[in-house]
Amino acid sequence: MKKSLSLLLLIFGFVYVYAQDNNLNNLFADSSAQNNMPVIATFKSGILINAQTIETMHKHDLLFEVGHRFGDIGGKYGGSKTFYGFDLISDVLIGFEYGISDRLTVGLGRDKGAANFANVNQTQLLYGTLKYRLLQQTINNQVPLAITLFGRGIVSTMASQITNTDADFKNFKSRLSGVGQIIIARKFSSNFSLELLPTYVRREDVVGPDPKNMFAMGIGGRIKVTKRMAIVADYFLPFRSSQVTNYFSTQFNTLFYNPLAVGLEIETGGHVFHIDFTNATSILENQFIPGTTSNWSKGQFRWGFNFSRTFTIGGSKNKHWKK
Amino acid sequence: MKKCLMGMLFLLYAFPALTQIYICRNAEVTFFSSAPIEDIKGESSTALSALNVDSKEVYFKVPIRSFNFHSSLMQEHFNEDYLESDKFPYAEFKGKIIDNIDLTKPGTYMVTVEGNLTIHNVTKTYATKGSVEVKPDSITTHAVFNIKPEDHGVKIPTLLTKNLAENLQVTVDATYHPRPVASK
Repeated sequence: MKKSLSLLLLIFGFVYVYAQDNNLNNLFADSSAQNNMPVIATFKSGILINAQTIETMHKHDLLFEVGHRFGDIGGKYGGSKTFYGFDLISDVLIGFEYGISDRLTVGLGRDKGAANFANVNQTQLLYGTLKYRLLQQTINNQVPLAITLFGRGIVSTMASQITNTDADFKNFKSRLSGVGQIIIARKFSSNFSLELLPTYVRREDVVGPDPKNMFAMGIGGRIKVTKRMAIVADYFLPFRSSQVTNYFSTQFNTLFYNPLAVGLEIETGGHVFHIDFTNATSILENQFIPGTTSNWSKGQFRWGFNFSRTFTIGGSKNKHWKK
Repeated sequence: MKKCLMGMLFLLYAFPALTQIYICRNAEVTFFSSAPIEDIKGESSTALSALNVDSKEVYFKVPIRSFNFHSSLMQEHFNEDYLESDKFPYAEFKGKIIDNIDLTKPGTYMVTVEGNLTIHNVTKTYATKGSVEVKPDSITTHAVFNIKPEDHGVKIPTLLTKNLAENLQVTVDATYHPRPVASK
């Protein structure tokens, strides 16, 4: 009995020894160190076309950006006589963004402003932005969404108009506008990202019954077609009352349309280049959300571009680097 | 008879300690590129490695996302555009020290390691010189070798050929400790 027990133990001993996995490959098979890492490159730049994205600058990186919208391609002001809108610049933007940390980006810029001569008449716009990355999506989907908060303050520096418009500034405060956005995004696969942008626009000086406080919902997406090229699109649905719509259609013979944009995004190293088509004439949210009066189906869309270049100017964030 | 059996059993249970596997969870892997426009360095200090002292097999598993760069934007491009770390999250090396040495005896040895390196899902065979220092309770290894991105299906755009060298110098440093017998 004792003998057989010993034998059993002996056999068990052998099994124990050979059950020890000496195949080195399998030692780290369960390593999941990567899974809680944040998802990167949901979008390739801080702006889609008209919409912002969840992306912020990396710490100490400086971005120089230029935005451009030409005139209508078709319709009354388009066609060959204006070289399909080339001669009629509707809006131009030049700006800088800087990453204070990997989460917080500040920006400063100048925008021409595009008046629609109905409810938007301000030009010569100076703006400052704040963008904060609140939540990052993780690879293991423990956090399935990314959330970034965006705010923009705008001041019109133009001379006050005498007529009764949103540019008949009574005091400094009436020159101000602001935009707040909660940007919610998800990278569904390496080739497809989608975002929603609940948006609030505040304008201190408005025309007639045009609301000072306005809400809109934006949606944007990116489909990567090659390693360096992607199709991007965004759309905004502004919420305005029929009273406002009627007022502007009777008083100004002007109808509002929802801004839609589609474009091609090309990335080479530190450059991101967008060529896009949109019916929105202006680049900043305080203008294109309440005041897009051009209609895609009438040929009143334009080509435009956004161009940005990133410079790494700060010190190293990597403590191992200087070794 | 009983004594003899017990003795055999004791030997058997002692056996795993002899086929000791050494493990390193913080191996340092760096690669360096020197090109006319810029020098680029990527650095990981969380690579996983194992060394079988008996069979002299070596294994490395390097998370691509663990490489740090001077520029975060460069790090993003490295992951997103070049190594595609969401599809191929690890670089792996399975190899063997081919020299006739005894890794259980303390000392410093110059060795040759041969094996397969998989980066970006493309496997290539490498042979490189390295050094191994065996101490009573740890083993330290060091190796330097060159790789070409194009050998592993990583295409560098013509526009950036002046930013990145054709050959990247890879340095690997690891300090191993015996795997605790209790853990599988």
